[in-house]
Order: sequence, then C-alpha cells, then structure tokens
Amino acid sequence: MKWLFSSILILIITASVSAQSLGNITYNMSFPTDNLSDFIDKPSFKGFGIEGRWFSNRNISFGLSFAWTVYDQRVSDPIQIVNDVVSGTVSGTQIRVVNSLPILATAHYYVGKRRAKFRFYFGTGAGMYYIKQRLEIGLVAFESDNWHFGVAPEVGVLINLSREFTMIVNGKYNYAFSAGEPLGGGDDNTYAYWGINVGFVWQDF
Amino acid sequence: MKTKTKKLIVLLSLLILSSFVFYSCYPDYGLTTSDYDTVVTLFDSDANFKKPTYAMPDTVVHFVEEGEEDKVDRSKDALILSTIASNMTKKGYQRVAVDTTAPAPGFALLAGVTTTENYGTVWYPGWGYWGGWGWWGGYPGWGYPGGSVTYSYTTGTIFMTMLDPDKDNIIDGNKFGAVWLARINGVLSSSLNTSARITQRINEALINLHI
Repeated sequence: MKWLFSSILILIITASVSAQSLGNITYNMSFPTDNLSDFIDKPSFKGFGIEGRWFSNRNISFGLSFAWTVYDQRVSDPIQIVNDVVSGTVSGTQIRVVNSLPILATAHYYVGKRRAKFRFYFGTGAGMYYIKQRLEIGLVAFESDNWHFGVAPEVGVLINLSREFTMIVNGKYNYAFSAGEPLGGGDDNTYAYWGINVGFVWQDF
Repeated sequence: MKTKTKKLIVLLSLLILSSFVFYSCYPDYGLTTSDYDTVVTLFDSDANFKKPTYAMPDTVVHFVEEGEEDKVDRSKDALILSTIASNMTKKGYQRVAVDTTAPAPGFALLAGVTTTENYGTVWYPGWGYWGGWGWWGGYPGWGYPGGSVTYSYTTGTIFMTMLDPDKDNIIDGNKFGAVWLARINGVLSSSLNTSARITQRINEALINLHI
C-alpha cells in the first residue's frame, strides 16, 4: 500500500512544476459527521493533503489530490448490546482510530484574474477513499478496512502574497459512500467529514 | 516562479511528506495494566430477576485443560467470593445454603477462574554496516545485527454465572438455564493493585445485574 501512495505523491509533486500548473500542500483539520461522529466525535488535527492541478485554460483546471487524515479517541463509555433474546454490556478502555486516505481526480473553476491578490475557486473531486477503522478494547483489537467511492466538493481561495509566495485556504466536504461492513455490523458504512485546509502553493505565472 | 524557488518548495514538500510517511497512525495513550481490563455481561431479556434468594458454593472453580495440573493461584478466591456476596446483599438478595434436600433457591450463582499464558515476538532491524577506514585497510568497521525479543504475559479471567432452576438449559434439559453471566478479563501483574482491580471489576459486573 505504501508504494502506491508514494508513487502518487511523487507524480503530483513532479508534475505540478510544469507549465500552466500549480501544486499545493496543506495542513488539514477535519470534523466528523454522521456515522463517523457516532464512532469518534473528536475533530482531527492530524491531516495533510497534496495536490497537483493543470490548467486547460485561464479559469479551469483538472488535477489529482491525495490526503491523509487520522481520527483517534479514547473512550470509557460502555458498549451496550441490545437484542431481543440476549442483551448486555461491554466495559473497558477503548481506543478508536480511523484513517482516511482519499485519492481523487479534481476539477476546479477560478474566478478573477490569475495574478489577483485573492483568487476564489470552487470545484469538486471524485475518486477512491481507503478507510481503515479500528477498535481496541482490553487485549483485543477489531479492524475493518475498505475502499469506498467518494466525492469531495470544495470552495477555496488562492492568496497571492507575492510573486513567489502563494497560500491556499479551502473548505471541503468529504463523503465516502458505503462499502463493506462497519465494525459494529449493519449495512451503512458511509463516512463523511468536513475539512478546513491551509497551505502553500507553487505555481507557474 | 523561478525554477530555483520551485525546486526549493518541491524539496521542502518532500521533506514534510517524508515525516508523515513515518508518522504513526496509531496513537499511544500511555495505557496502564488496568486499562486492559474488560468486563462483559450478558443477560436473558426474558428472565425474572426478582426472586429473592440465591445459593453460591464456597469454592471458586478453576478451569484447567484436561490432564493438566491446577496451578491457578487460589489466594484471590476468598476475595472473589466475598465481593460477589457483598454486592448481592446490596442488591437485596438473600444468600441461602447450598442444600440439595431443601427447596431450590431463586438462583444458583457460580464463580470460576482461569489463567492463560500469552507469548509474542517482536522483530527489530539492525543498524547498517559501516564500511570502516581508508585504503590502507584499517579498522574493518562493524554493524549491529537485527534480532528479536520474545515477551510473555499472563491474563486472568473470572467467570460468574447465574442459573435459574425454573429455566431449562438449552443444551441439556436436565440442567438449569443461565440467565446472567459475566466475564472479567485482565493482565495479571505482580503489583499490589490486582486485588483492587478484582474488587472494582466484580462491582462493575454486578452493577449490570438489573433487578
């Protein structure tokens, strides 16, 4: 798995220094929603993203993005087992971890001039999310990992602080459709989280 | 953007990314021995727990493999039985003697214990080989070979089972059916807190006995 991610990273970095392109690396803060927040309700401040975009004209770009977000939480609340015949409780210190690694093809539309101080854009990404969910309780660990198809609509702004230095700030909603089974069983294994990402950009003027 | 600046940013990005590649995605919360204790309780949703009496033998059953010698420590047996009894009293149950000639009590409560030895091996890489000094064939250099470390730990499990004489065992109709059971598992250590942990976890298990 590491060779796949490493290859994608190298592709993004090297290709983004060509003409009519930009690359960016961001620090990602993420906030879980829906099923994910039922498992872990603590935000993640352990995330990064890297992206390469190639302009087809002045206002439209297509690209490839990769990100890695880690959610983790220590939980002491017991797990309730509810069943018609047998019910019960499981108590113990739980360590809950979710790793989300989206690999997305992206498309963005930019408003305003390329050299404007603030250049807003909106767009979306679509592709695959590799998500690994893990629950440790006592001396036992349960793990489930799946590839999900997902989408990530996004709005953001490029801040051209100087000819040489540009920053990027964006908000993104990541939604990974259901695939496989969650640890607690059931049919719904969707993951969704909001992200606020800040970073710097290298681009060709 | 100048090529030199681009290259600098690319290099910086690679350096930052390389730190993430080695970043642990599983955090270390500094768990202690007691954090590895678990208490599992299950109960029959249709059972009637309002019967006022129960009988419990004065012995904790030790589960060992057939043919194996019972080496399970008995020093905690009295603590286990007394903690169970005090919790049942607080819940309003009256303990009666185990007497097969007398009318059956509301419940029979059994306690059992087992221990398990666990082993594992951790492999670690060695340090790289250092090529030594120069052309005159001086000190040949040395490396540190990788190796492995084997570790072991003992886990203990306490079982508590509540049987109802009015309920048939689903496997053997001649035996009582279980209406409540608890399993407490944890790492055994030589520290003084094992007794405190046993007491705490039995208390937790019996809190989940809903009358």
